[in-house]
Amino acid sequence: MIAFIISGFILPLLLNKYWLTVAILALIYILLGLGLNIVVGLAGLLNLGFVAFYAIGAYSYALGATYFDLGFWAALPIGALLAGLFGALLGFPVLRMHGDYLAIVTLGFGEIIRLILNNWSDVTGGPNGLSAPFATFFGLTFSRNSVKGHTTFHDFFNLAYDGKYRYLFTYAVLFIAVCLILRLVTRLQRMPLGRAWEALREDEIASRSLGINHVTTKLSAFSLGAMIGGIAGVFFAALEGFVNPTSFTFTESALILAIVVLGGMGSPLGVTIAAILFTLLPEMLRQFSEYRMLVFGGLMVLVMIWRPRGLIGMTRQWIVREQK
Amino acid sequence: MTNVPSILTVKNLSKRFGGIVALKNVNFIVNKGTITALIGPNGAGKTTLFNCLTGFYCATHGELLFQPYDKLINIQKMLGEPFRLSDAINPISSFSKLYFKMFGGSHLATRAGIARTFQHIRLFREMTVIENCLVAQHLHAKRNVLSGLFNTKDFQQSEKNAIEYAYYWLEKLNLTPQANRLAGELPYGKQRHLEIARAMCTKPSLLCLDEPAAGLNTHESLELSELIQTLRRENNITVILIEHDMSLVMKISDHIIVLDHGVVISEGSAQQVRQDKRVIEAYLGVAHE
Repeated sequence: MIAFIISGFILPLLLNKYWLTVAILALIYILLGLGLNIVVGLAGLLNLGFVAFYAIGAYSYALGATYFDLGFWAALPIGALLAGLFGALLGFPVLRMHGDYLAIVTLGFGEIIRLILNNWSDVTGGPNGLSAPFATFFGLTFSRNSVKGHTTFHDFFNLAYDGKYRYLFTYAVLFIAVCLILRLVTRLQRMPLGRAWEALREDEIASRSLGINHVTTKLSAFSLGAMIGGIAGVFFAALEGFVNPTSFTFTESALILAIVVLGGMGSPLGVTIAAILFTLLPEMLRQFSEYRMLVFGGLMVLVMIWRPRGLIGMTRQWIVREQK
Repeated sequence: MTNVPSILTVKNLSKRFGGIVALKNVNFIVNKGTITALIGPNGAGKTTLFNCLTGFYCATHGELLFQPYDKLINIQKMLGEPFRLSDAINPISSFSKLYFKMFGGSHLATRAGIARTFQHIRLFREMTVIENCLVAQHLHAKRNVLSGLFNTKDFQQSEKNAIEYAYYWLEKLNLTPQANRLAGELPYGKQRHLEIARAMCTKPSLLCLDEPAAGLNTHESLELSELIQTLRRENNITVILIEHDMSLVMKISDHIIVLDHGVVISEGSAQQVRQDKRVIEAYLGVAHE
């Protein structure tokens, strides 16, 4: 565990800028996977519009920065809260639905959000998108030249300018966030709330007969998953420095779902590995140029044949009675 | 027996599904600490009655009063009664109705102290046996998310108690060796036992068993009848059960209620019911040949 954290921090120092961006993207997908894992893997609510929360997070940062001069650090909680709120809003009407019906409604929700972002040009900039400022280090920007009286990071520390700093910093913050959320998700599985989610996934009627309030339990799964998606969105906007609706299509939702299913539903470790694979493989397969998606798809099919329950299945906690 | 207070009073209970009357003016009383059996032919409305009792259905008419201790609990109210015109001038009643409409439901019946099992086993199959019992203690567990995340002393203690309590019931039902196996992997008889253990983990005062002996062999159903009597004796539980196994019913129940076509056609002790003409005609007939 400690080795994992240390290697996570050392790794970016060895990478060039290109692979660093790939690593950051992998971390963002880990976040998204963990968020969706709560909804699909634990609570068993098939959500095909998860990208909507990702978009809400990204746009709440971009819009906030454009209209209210919102900084990256303030945007993190605000983006998370907004996404969580939308998660609960979506959750309420779809509480009675299961399986296929729920999937269709969430699919529609994802499209609605994307279409609003695309067509409400006056506010969201439509297809042209919006710019989002890069993350700052306690108010120090990472740009080459200082603007509007902001001190830059390299000036403050008397370093030569290097474009890599910004990515290193984003990576570090994101890595910490991923560690925290991994911890959150693993803890949740050992808590009454997480157990209630799983019970709902297994049998809703039985859980109700045991005193679990299915309404609030489902809503909490929906909004907690959405919150994590929102956080990922804020990071995405801060990384790209620019958001537009094409980043939030259905394909993206399907990709996140594939990460969760391939990794092993309900298994945080599996989801993490799958997210890394899903971002690294397409990059590594670049030499196959136009065949790379074919190879990628083939690999996915192979994995599903080899391990139908995902790379790493969910493990159950072993509970023993305390000896007296 | 005269001074035993009642735990459950069913008054004029009716349930309609569209044009079908599943229950018609059902009245009965269940006394504290007794074993009451609900019998009757298939489709008589036994399970519907159970579903009304445990809050899965909202009865069309009538009252369900549950009194585990001194306080009287109206089950109907917790499920969210329909709004009436009179609520418009009574803000308190309409507000409480709105509250129960939004947050009410069967989980409140459990909170009040009614636990149940199901005719068709409903376990959390992908969870372990002990986890099934831990889920059942949801209402008693420390549910504060923050204390759980930081794994505080309080939280650890509450988890420890929950595990201990779960093991207490697993031991009672001979499930301790299987505690960490997946519930779905257990043999059928064990699954039936686990359902009872799980229901008991909610710490109920009234236990509703829906055909607990269905699919059990003679030996297992004998064990079951002893278990039910132990529950009543040692844990002070009132039991209502639906059962088709007449030898079991006649042996253990203090009071038998016979339903047919949604109407109570007879009630009383095993002896009385067995000799009732209407019961023989509607249900027992075959047994008398």
